[in-house]
Amino acid sequence: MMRSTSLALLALLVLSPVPAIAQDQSEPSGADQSQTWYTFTGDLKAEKYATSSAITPANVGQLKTAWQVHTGDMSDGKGTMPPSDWSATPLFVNNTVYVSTPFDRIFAVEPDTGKVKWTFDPHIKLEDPTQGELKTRGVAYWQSPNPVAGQPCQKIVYLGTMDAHIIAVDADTGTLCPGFGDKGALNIDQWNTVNAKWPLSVLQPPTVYKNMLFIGWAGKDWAQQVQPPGTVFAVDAQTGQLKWTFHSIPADMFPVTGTSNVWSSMSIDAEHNLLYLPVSSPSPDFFGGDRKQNIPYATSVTALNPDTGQVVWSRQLVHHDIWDYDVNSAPVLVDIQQNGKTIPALVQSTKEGYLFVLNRLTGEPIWPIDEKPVEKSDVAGEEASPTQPVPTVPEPTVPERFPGISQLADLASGGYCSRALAQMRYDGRFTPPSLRGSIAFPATAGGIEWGGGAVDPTTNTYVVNSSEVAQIYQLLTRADYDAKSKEPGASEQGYFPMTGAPYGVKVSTFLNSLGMPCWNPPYGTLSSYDLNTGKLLWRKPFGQVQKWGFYMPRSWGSVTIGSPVITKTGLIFIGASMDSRVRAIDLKTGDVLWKAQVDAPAVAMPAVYTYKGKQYVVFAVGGNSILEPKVGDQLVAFALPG
Amino acid sequence: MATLTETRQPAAVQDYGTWLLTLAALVAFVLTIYNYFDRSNGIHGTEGALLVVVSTALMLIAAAVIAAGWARPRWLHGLLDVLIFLDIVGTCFAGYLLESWVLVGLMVIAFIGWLVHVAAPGRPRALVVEEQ
Repeated sequence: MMRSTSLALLALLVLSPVPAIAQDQSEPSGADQSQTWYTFTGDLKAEKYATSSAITPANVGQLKTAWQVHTGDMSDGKGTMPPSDWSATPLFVNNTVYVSTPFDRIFAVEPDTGKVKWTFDPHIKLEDPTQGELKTRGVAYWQSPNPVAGQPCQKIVYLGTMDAHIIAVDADTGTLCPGFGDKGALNIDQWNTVNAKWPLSVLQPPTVYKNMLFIGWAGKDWAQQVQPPGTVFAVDAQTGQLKWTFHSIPADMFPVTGTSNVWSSMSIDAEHNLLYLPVSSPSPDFFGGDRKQNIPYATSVTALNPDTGQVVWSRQLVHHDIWDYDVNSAPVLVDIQQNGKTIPALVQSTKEGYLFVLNRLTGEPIWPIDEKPVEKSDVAGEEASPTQPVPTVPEPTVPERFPGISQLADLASGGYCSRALAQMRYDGRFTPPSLRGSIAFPATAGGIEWGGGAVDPTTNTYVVNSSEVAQIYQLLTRADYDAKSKEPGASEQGYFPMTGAPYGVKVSTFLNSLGMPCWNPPYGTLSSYDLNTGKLLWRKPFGQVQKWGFYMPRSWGSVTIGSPVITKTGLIFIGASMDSRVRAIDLKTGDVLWKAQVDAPAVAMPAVYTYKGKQYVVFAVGGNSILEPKVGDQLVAFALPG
Repeated sequence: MATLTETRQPAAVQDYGTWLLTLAALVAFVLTIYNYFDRSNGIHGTEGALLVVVSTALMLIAAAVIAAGWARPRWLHGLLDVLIFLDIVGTCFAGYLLESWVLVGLMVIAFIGWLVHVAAPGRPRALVVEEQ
């Protein structure tokens, strides 16, 4: 009896989740970090890697729904409310699953049953001032290094809101933390003092490190030429007091541009005390004739000292960005093994489908980056950069050239696709936007979107999903824009004013009148790379396109938004595709081993955690209008039976 | 006196085929309605799911008309046979694209029923002259 009791206790100790967040909110100490999923990307390095080992390639086919929650927070946009876009990755920490909804509510859920522990509703007005959608990518978590027993807010969940607030609630009770900001809500917009055209919507959860929150915001750089200049705020995690501000745009350029903001997640090298920012493009997106002078931090990956906000190094990844090629995902930190040496590196994926692999201490490239000559702009007033940086290794996720006209789409449209291509400008990558319309391939939709890739740090295998989308960028003189954008149905056709610039722009996906893509498939792939050598291991079409309910051939793949997670046992878990399915994939081969139908496209990375010895894979299933006009409110966990 | 009559003997095998076709069409119709409304299958509410509701409904009606013996005129019987065949092929292809494998299986069964129906010896292939 004694022995069995001891064994039971031992088992309990071994199997119990240990949500140990270290004092500085860096990587959990003394515990298997895969037990928790404590940031948007799983950890501070943005690895998206889980060491949970219960689910294997051999048994993944048995995965079943363990629980699901319908939050009720969704909108299809047909009423007065904008459509919802639920791109949240749930957190698992403090023995609780936390997730925010597109209505800016927080749900705290029991990790094994899905029973809702508490919800928090800030009662904000359900209108989005910047994105045209109700959007969230989740919450952040902090816990006190010196918790005081019986005191609230020793563990805090943070929610960024569309109306420019950070809200702090007690992680155990869901009640506001009165010591943070103004009675629990910190108004970020109080620092929106230059070109304050709209509030600084906080859609991405803050990055938490030491006792600080690092906060970026979302803009709308397609709307106006002059906008709030990009800033990142560091605030005290307990009080919300401002510690420092990073500015991405030189002050003398404030009158002519804005944004270059950080709208996606960040990563942190705790060992070397560095904060990495993926910095987006300046406004307006598609015309830079009024912002010709160099903006070094625009469309860059930039490393800061997290204590001071001082720049340690920065590398611009697109010069004079006129394609909306935001650097849009947290760089993935990885220690590369080369010639017996360990090199601290990062992988910065981009909308162009490039993988920039850099020394993360210096910003220097691991493999050469060429400055390739690119074509000039033919638009009056514009001066495209004569060269653009192109990494030589690894090979990009998207082909160098437009993949050609789809004969099927061309035939079905009576030759529209080939006629349209002949009339437009296409000079390879970085073809500048033009008045007759330019083909952008890949386009602003990516390439690689804000989820970025995942890495198995034991083998340095890197996996990333990527889209192959051709879009048409057509600049319109102001008179043309004013006329065409007011035509019936124009609001659905991608007209963006770029007010203040001499041109507006129409951005449209290159489709025929039946909605068929005019270019050859695949439309989306999943790729695996060996980061020690930079070599591509495999690439396969990923997901399926669905039209009128009909699934198109698997070889076509799907446009994707979201990202993969890798597990120790050699599995990739990923949603992301248009077909509203989530999948488990063999890391070695890229073969699909399991899939399940969910309510809508799962446009975020899943969270993988272990609780009471059982491994769970949780997806927030909410849809994204870029992929499909299909929304959901389903939080669903999968686990092995029993 | 000579009279013209249809030879319909024996009819049992042919009837089996017709009833198998009708049954498969009925089950397929019920399935497609379920698929159209079931939110968990990935095709609910889609144009494709609605299309196969309509196509299986038409198949069921045509098969029932034959099974009930209402397709007396030869031309009508032949027309329905052709339309049912096209319906089966089209619905099967739609089921494949919808990844509704049960529907595809039912169309295979329906096709077997149709084959039996058109190939069985009881089929009124020709009119014969009987001497009385």
